[in-house]
Amino acid sequence: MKPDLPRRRAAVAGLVAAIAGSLGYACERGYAHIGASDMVTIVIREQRVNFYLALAIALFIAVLAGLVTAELASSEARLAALERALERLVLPLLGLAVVLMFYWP
Amino acid sequence: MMRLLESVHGHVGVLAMAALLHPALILWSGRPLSRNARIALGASVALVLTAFALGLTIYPAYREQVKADLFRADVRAGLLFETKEHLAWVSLISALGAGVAALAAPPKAIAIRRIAGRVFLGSAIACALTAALGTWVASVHSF
Repeated sequence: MKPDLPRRRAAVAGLVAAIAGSLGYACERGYAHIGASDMVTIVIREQRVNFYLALAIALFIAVLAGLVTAELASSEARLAALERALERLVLPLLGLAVVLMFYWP
Repeated sequence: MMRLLESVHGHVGVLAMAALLHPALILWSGRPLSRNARIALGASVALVLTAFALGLTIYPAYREQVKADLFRADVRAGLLFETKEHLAWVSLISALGAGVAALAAPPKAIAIRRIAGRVFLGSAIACALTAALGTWVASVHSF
């Protein structure tokens, strides 16, 4: 194993965790909105997803995604492929998370 | 007391918004970071974390004392407050992830630092939206 590989794995895992945490939380908002609208939404959301619990779940998703990525990116070729994919997808995915946050208040 | 905490939270949030642009700029080209740049990057992430932690501190009081009246005053503002909370999370988790990536990346990992720079830009934009929405909501109804 090259000496740089563990640090690159950690770095790529951090980036994937950032995206997974953002999108994971956006999806939780979507879950909270299922079958609800307007003022009813607010009540149902608070019953279904507690704010602190939602944050804890999103953090868990981010950490889990980071750990899985670090495990999968075990070779130079896989790391390079992940980096290429991230370079293309990182801004669209973060943008999608922001848009979803506005779509599901 | 809550009014003071809210004010500090808002000011730290605006500072964090400005501070997040710095790592986005220094990481954009992908060059290795100097020691001072690493310290500045860590400080930016710490600032976002502080702003978020202050927000979490006053959130229970917001629910008890402000939320109902805010929705009575303007439903749109009440819903946008929730959006602001979620955008703050995007800003925080993006800054944390990109911070780990930028600090862990070895000197030759130019691509990783460039990606981290873009994530910091996304974090700064989310933080700017958070600050703007927070300021507007506070002008509608506050503690």
